[in-house]
Amino acid sequence: MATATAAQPASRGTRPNAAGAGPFALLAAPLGWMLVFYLMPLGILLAHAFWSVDYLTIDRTFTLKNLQTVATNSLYPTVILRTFLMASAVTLTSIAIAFPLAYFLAKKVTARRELLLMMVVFPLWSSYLVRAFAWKTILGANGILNSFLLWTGLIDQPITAFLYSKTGMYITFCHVWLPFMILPLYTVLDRLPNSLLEASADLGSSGWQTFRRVIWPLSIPGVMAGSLSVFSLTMGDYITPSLIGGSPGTELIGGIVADQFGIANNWPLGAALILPVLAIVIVFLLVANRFGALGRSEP
Amino acid sequence: MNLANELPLPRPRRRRGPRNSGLTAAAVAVYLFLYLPLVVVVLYSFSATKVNAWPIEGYTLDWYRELLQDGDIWESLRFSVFVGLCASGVAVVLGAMTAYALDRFRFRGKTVVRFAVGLPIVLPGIVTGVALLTFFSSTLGWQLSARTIVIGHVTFCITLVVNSVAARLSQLPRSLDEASADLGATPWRTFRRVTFPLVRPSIFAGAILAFTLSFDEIIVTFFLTGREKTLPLLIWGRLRRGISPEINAVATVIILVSLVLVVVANRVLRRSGQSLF
Amino acid sequence: MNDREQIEALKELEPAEVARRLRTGQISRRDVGKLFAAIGLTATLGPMFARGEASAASDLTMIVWEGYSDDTWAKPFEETNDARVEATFAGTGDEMFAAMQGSGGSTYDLVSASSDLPRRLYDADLLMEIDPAKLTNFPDLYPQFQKPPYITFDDKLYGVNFAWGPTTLLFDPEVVTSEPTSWSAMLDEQYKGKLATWNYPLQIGQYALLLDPKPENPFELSDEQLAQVKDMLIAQRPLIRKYWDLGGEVAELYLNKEIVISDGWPYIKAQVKESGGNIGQVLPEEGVTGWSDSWCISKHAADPELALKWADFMIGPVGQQGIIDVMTYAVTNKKVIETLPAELREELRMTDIPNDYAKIHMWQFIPGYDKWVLIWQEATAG
Repeated sequence: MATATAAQPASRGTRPNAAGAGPFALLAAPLGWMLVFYLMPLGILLAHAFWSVDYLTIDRTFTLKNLQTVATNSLYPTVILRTFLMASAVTLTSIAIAFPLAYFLAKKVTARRELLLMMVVFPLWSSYLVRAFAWKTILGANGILNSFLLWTGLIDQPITAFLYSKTGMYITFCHVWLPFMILPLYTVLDRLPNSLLEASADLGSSGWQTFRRVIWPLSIPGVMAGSLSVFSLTMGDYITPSLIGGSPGTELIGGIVADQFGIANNWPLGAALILPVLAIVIVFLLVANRFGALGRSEP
Repeated sequence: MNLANELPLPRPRRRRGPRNSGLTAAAVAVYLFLYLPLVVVVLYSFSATKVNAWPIEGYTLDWYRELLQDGDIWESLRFSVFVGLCASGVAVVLGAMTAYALDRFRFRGKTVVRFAVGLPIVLPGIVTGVALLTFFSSTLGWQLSARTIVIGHVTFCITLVVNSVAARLSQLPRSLDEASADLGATPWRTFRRVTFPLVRPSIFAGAILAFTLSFDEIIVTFFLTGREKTLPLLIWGRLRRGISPEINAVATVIILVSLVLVVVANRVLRRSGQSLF
Repeated sequence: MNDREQIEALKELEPAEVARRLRTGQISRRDVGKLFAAIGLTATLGPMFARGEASAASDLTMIVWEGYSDDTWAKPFEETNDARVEATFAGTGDEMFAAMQGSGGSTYDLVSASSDLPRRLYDADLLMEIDPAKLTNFPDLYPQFQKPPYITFDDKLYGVNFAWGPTTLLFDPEVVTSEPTSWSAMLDEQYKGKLATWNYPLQIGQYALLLDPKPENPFELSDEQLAQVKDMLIAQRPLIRKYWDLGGEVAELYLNKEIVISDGWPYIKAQVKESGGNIGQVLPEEGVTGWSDSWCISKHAADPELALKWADFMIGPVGQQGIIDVMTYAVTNKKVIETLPAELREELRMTDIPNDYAKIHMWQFIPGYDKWVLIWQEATAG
């Protein structure tokens, strides 16, 4: 199919899919925006990775010193790996938690569906900080969870590992990003024709078989879209580590990057630290794109 | 579908009861998980002590009284709503255009466009924040203000709208468009009469997501904020002194107000034969 | 015609005319894209925000240590000057610096800069020179607070010194029954998982007080000394429940019985007491680090006169008394201090100011700070 050339004036009555000026007329504003307000600033920032800083002055001489630091000082690879594992765990858990609810909303509920769906979004309306802080109350040594477990007799000493720990961050992340997983899942499941499910049931397949052979494959775009959000939100966060983690600045890579800009005033090193994170999320983007999370995949 | 080959004889349809009740129980459990922290927030907004200690030692309405008189909170709440509306408004228009173009046209560089649009939500918020901060302050020489916050929010809100709308568009059969075109409709008419009604739920979903993310955002905002503060920034600032139950009171009020808004919005939409989702 | 001029010209046109030119090929689609971007910024968004920006002009914005904008003194100031005080709390001086530098000094009119910070702000050309003649309360300050080295550069004044105090050792007397006397309590295995320390690279100085031999100045350390402190911090890592960022966090950690020993400030102790908690505070025998805080005014302050009034007000009787009552920090105004009861002066170490003050190793500007930051990160990453 012909590719568009921007110089042609738009003609009226262009048929859908005939790629004339259409995409570019549509994309001019959004892409202009992204170019000016994202890609250009990002480029300027990433250029910093190859510069250096001397006290307050940025020296724009090309150098690989920062990248060497990132690769050789064991601090950075350790924390990047830790962040990757955390983000993966949170993403997988979110899928497991969100799927039943999204399916329930899309296929089992008819009355009050809007209300139930809105209830998924509601938790987002109360401040993220407040919710993270609420988890602190729940997970603390004398918090609700420990009080409950003591009361049931399951434990006789409070478990301190819930709070100021990776466990605590994991639970909090799973909670705060959950709506970002539920909504795209709901969107794909809602479009799943009921007739397919009925056909599968009529053919005698069990619920599990229907799930594995019909529902799951067709919901992959939604799963990938939700995963992309949850994974990347976790990869970049430093607020939850600061409230729930034990060592706010160094639990996850977000904190280390933040500190390079917000404390150490070492922008070049901060920019260099962003590069591996960038690589990880771009790989994820590529995978998600293959599965159609960002729209219809190319034939 | 090879199910038919494996199971040539249709079995009687299963009773739906047990399976459904399992699913319902799971859904209820997820709702409980979603709402447990909110219940904590609401409970502690009535706590008589200043610190979120457990168990609650006494109950009071003082925090609500204090909240009523706290001009800073109301000012920042107004500001947050304003920023959220501007950001989600701009993002919905730009995001829907992008999603539509990506889905309906083939053109060179499409993958690049997808990636460009996906990046802001994928990269750590601090990257967006600091990149825009350098850009605005040193490259453009702008003062930080509501304008810089809105622009920062729009960049990542676009991605949410694109994701939401694109996921829906990808499932719409193109034959609908083709049929519409064969019947002589212009692309605009096809869009307005066929495509738009079908993607409207995802646009709504995208808009709501965009607003909520903007309303809640703190990392990008921290770097781009000028003299006025959004509610999350105000809360962040106060958390540094130890949380006051007043913050829980604000959150409670926001939850209630949004509940009312959504119920009303839903009623209005129903009356005109539409649905929010 | 260059791009920018062309876009400016296009902005003047009616939308219909722009569309016509696009159709006839007079302008390219790229131009329209740029136009949209330009309009999106100025024409569409501009008027919407104009109000917000205009109304903020009479506000006084500041980035401060928590508590420094307490209503006890901010309210009277607002009423007298018909202004609104808007404070942002920062967890560390580094954060204040980043916020000031990032906005080119236009966002915050004032910074409550501790003794380590003004030098950096000055070097980054962010500070306004202060004329002491404009401060009515300036002559009442102890001479040593009038033009101390950390706010005097090139013999000019760049800050108004208003409060100071030590970083102390806090503990829960219900668990730690015998009062700790040494910073080594912060490294005691016995309190594993019940310790907290401030998450700030400058704290390396506090731990340097434990080195043998003790450095003359804990903020001027050799590489060897830094390595020793690093080992100490790595050994401490498994004992720590929380590296804290926010003072309120520490108060809460004590009230919720999460920790029993930490470093902190007198203000934290006051917060815990106010909420009915039990807390002890000591100055360990190795000595203490501490801060001396000054109001610094941004070179690009919206209303420098108003900012100056705030600084003056804060070294006057209302501001100084407020700092004593609410923060329980020591202050700098001789006249105010001399009216205080002896007991309070003793408690806040203001009986013999020059001597009491000299006993604290005040935070100071650290050349090669990057190294400190890296050590701190490596030690706390675990």
